Amino acid sequence: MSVSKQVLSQYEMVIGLEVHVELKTQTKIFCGCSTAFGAEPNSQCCPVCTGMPGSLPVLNQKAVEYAVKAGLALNCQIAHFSKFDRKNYFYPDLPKAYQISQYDRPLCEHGYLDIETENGSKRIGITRIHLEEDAGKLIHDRNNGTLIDCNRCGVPLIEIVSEPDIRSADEAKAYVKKLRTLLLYAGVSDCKMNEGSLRCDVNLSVRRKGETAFGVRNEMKNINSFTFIGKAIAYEFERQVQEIESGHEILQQTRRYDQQTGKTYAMRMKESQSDYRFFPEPDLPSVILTDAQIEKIRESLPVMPDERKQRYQNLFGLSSIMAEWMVEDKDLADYFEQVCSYKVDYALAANLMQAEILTRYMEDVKIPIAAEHFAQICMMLADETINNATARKIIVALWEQDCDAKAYVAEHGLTQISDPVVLGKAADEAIVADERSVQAYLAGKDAAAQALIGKAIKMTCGKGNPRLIREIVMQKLLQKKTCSDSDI
Amino acid sequence: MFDIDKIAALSKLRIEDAQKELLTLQMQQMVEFVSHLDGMEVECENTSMVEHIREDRIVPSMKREELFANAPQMMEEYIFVPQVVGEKQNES
Amino acid sequence: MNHEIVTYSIQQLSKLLTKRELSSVEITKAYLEQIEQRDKMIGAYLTVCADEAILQAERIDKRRLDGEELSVLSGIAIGIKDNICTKGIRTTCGSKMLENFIPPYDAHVVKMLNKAGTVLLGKQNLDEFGMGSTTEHSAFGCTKNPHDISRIPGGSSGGGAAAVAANMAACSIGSDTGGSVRFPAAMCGMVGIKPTYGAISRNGLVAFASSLDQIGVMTKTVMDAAMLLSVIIGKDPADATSVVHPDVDFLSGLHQGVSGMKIALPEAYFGKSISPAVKNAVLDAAKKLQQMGARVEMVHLASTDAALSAYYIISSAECSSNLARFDGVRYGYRATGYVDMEDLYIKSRNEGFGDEVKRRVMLGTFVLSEGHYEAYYHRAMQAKAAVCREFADVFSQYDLILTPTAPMTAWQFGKKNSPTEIYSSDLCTVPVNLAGLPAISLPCGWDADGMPIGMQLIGKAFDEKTLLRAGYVWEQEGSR
Repeated sequence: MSVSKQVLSQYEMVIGLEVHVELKTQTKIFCGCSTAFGAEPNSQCCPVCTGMPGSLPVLNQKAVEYAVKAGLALNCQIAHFSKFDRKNYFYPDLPKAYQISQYDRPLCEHGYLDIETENGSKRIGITRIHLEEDAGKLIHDRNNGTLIDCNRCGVPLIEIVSEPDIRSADEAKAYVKKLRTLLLYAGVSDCKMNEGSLRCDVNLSVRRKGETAFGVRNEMKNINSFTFIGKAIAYEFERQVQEIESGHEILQQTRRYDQQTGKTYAMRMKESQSDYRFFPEPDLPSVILTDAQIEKIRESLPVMPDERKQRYQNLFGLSSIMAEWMVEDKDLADYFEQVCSYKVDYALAANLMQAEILTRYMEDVKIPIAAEHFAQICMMLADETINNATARKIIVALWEQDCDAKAYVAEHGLTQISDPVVLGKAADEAIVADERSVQAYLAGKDAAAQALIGKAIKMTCGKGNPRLIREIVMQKLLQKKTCSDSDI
Repeated sequence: MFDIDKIAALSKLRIEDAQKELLTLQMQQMVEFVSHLDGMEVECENTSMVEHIREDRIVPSMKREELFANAPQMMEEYIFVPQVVGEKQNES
Repeated sequence: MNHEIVTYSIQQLSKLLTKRELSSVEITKAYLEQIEQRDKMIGAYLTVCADEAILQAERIDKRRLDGEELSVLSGIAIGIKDNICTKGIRTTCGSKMLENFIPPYDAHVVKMLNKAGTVLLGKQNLDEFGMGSTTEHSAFGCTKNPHDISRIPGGSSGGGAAAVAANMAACSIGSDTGGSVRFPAAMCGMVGIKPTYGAISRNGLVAFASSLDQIGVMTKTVMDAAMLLSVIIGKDPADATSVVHPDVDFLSGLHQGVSGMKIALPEAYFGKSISPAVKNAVLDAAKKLQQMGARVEMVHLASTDAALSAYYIISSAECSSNLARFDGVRYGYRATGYVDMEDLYIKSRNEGFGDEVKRRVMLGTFVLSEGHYEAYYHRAMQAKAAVCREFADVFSQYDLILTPTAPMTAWQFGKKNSPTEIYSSDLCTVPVNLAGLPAISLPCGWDADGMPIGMQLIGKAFDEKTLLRAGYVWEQEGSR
């Protein structure tokens, strides 16, 4: 495929996303079987989720609650009346040969979320969120067969459909990222792409810039990582532009993204599979929600990231980007707030977290350093008891084995040296030891001073106050300079 | 009006040519039979769901051997069917 | 002795059991013997559980001897329609599709009956998946009417009605989607009752049309029906459409008669499609009820044609979806010689289903398919709502509605061939299912050929009590 950048730049892509998210209920949506991931095949099944004759679904209250919670987290209107419908199609992973889903009366509608990209912030509309059951897993066997595992049949899912507001791969990624953050905050899903609890379908069409009508869209199913979302979009955009440029019509298709080749392929769908014959599910009564019930669910939501971000900017004086970064992960933000509760310099704490915590942090693993100890480190940095290098040293140590940071500093003699006599001596030693850097500096290379400052800090075993050392070294170099100048 | 091949395909049934004529006629009669629906413009009512929901509490699942005792073909812990062909790829 | 035992009502059997003048084993053996002798001719049973039945009867007898307080149904031998799941006992739905299907669980109604200590004699014949009015559409042969074996027993619970009529069970548990309990009860001269939708859990009843299906019973007497219903009616957490019944004390008011009751007689149910014999018998019954103290008045209920259309649209639509699970994958019939998955689906379904089921599945698929939903399904739902409203209007002024159960008496096999001609026989029963109301079919005379005629009383939702009360006094005084 080759379309020139110049041609590509005449087009824009229009993207809408459909994201399927598994809700983290204990049990399936219509029966009491466990939803735990990774169990032995077909060990978490019963007559209901395997569609045995005569079995009937009974709705899991928690699934409704979580779906509403997701809707509220995404600024949706929650329907006081919604209902379930049957989506009829035959497939071996669908035991009843229909999926219980929601067709014309979804639980949530008209929401939005705000994303932050290099081009600033943007609001992406959410058309609807509906509740449905997941299908089973098919494993393609080498012996010309397909194996069916029904454990996932009936796991509650929400499908979140965005408006076609997205215009780039970056926006798409930011959207999914933000969606994930919001749902994790709401506590309704694990959102693990690698375990399939968050799955993404991308609807993409292209049009010449300036046009208002939409092009014919293609759907790319089940893309399971941020990287692949970006790659699939880039590929598909170029492919569609090339089709148009070659005078071909874009066919409405469902396409599959192949991770190995990085290309998308049309999936051959039987014509008969496109007529789903939706009709109201007669086995389930409608879902009626009162204002009081909805409010109760709203109250159970934590402070959401956008609100937190505002607060971090206004109260803590963090920059927009820093605040966005901080709120992205609820656990990190919670930690930050705990640290802040010890009255530290907020910006300093935020910077130190970004520099030292983020690099070590793993999702779902608790930060091993107590917030109080991290706060001590921030305070010691602020009052120059320690320097940055020492702070890092302490964090490395406490990450392995947490303890009182002040006690650690005292025990290991890490207090910063600010005595000008000691520091002056270190500076002299550095200057004597590195004649070349001195000469370079004198020859006009200002950067060479940095090497000398570093060396002087080293002479103090890293404990020297960098600010003071800098002052002293620069002073001494300046003296040398005036000396050598006067020599001439 | 009644495209018997399309409806049969959607229903995962196959109509043999010999039956087609009679069946099409019968289906047309049936469609005719169910077409007496004039003058019935009434909104459908809704029912409430309170008491019809369950708590999110685990109930032990059924033993695999018991649940799938009727399965036509198993392979180890799985139900076995021929290779699914619905998603054949076409390079384009 | 055995010949007499099998003619007794549940009430009589229960009394004898309580007084220990009769054991459950004796009762069970008497019925098994009767089945042995008569069922070759009638064909009411698809599976007879002789050994299990005797074992269960022995268990009940022992408990009674041990002095345990038992329910009134303990030790009573019953039959169950073969579309109701019985754990460990083949449940075929009258279909080749499920010829060897052994459910891994018991239907709710079966659990309740087991708890009450009934003895299961066997599983009874039906039109495949309950689709039919004659029991001719069973994959395992038709059931014959005990009053005249050249005639249909009615359907779809034909096996159940015929079994009770031929003294091959004290009672039968059936299912009624558009008349499947009441219609065969009328054809066989038995009592058949379909309670309010939601009164009995559908859990374990293999679905035909979920929004219309309801379990019902066929008995010799109204008292027997009342006794059975008080055991099997009740909210089941496993059926979201089942509800708490406000009044299940059916026995206490049974003797109070119909004096002061207001009974409506809707003209539309006495039109030209109703045979004169049936019409006269039901109008006679209306007169008698009036003499017994009820106020009987003609009322207007809109044409039943729309209800019949709506019924066949909704039931077929739901059946097309409910029967999609029979795909040869997890249970049931899987064809051989398929070339791929698609072929496996089509071959299995083509060979596993009978013609009537296929027709209904296709009709249902058609009415739901793109471009037809609004014209058929949506309007049928509106018609359903209209039927509900009309009934509600009548019930704001009346306690009961009296109609024929069927437009005619049992006809001879082969006399009606076109599907739609047979559908018309459901004229009087389907509106009741659309509205979810309770209704009872009671014998009310005989036609010139000596075939029984049935009349239908329709009640307010959850007012089975009034239905049974009127039925009881009719049986005691009116039908003589």
